[in-house]
Amino acid sequence: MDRLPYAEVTEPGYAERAAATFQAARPAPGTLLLTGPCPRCGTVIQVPVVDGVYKTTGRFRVGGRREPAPSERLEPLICTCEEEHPGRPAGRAGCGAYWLLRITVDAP
Amino acid sequence: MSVNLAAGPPAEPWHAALAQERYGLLAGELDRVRAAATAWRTGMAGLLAALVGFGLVKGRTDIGQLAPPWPVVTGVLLLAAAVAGGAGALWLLRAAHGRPAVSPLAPSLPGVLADHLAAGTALRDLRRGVAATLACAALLVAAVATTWYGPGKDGPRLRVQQPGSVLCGSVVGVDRGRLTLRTEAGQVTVELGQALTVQPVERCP
Repeated sequence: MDRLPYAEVTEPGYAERAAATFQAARPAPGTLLLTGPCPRCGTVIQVPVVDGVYKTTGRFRVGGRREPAPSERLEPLICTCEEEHPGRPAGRAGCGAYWLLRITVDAP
Repeated sequence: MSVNLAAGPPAEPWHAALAQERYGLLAGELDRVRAAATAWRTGMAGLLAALVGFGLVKGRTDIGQLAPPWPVVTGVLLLAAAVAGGAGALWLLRAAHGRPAVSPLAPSLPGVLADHLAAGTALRDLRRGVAATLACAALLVAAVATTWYGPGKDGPRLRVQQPGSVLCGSVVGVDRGRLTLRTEAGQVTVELGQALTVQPVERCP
C-alpha cells in the first residue's frame, strides 16, 4: 500500500472535520488532549494543547506565575501521527496537514 | 468543565511552522528540565562547598564559649540549615533524575504529554530545591556569624571567704596583697592575708 507523502498542506475542510470528530479531554490543569482522526491521512492522533512549556534554562514557566489561558483560543494544529510519510523532513511530525481550531473552555 | 471545538479561519503556512515548533518544544521539554536541574544541582553543591572553604577562616570555633542563650541559637540555626540542606538536595536530585518509583501507566496519555506533566513536577522540585539550598547557605552563614560575633561567656568568678563574710565577683586586679573584686554591691577590696578560702566558681550565687 502506498504511503501518503509528507506535504504541509491545509484545506478549509480539515478544520471542519477535526472540529466535528475530535474529542477533548483535560488530563491536568492547563493541558488539553485532542483525540481524533487526522483529516488528511486518517490516522487517529492525539494532539496535546498546553498553556506553557519550559523552553530555556533561564525561564521557569510551568507552575510559575503567569497569565491564565483565555477561555477561547485559536490553536494551530498539525497531524502528529508517527506513521511513515515519504519525504518528511527530520525534526517534523505527522503527515504535514495543518489547520486552525477554535477551542472554547467553559469552567464548571 | 466542557470543551467546545469549532473550525477556525483558514490557516497560513506559518501556522504549520508554529505548531511544528511547539510540538518539538514539548517533545524535548523533559530533557531540558532535567539538564537544567543537573546544572543547578552542581551549582548549589559548589556554593555549599565554597561556604565550607569560607569556614576555614577561623573565628571562634566552640559554641561552648558563647554566653547563654547564643549556644542554643547557634544549635537551632545549624539544625535548620541541616534540614533545609537535606530537603534541598533531595528536591534537586528528584528534579534531575526523577522519583525512584514506578509510575502508574496511563494508556490514554501520549508520551509527549506524560513527559510534559513530569517536566512540570520536575520544575516545581527544582524551584523548591534551589530555594531550600539557598536557605541552607544563609542559615549556615548566620550560624557561623553567631559563633564568631556572639557575646562570649563571662570569665570565672572568685569566691572569697573571710572571717564574718563571703564575697563573690570578677577579679579587677591584685595589688600588694590586696584583691579587688567587682561584686553586685560594687568594687570591694579584700586583704588576701585575711582570706580563709579563695575558690574559682562559674557564677556567683
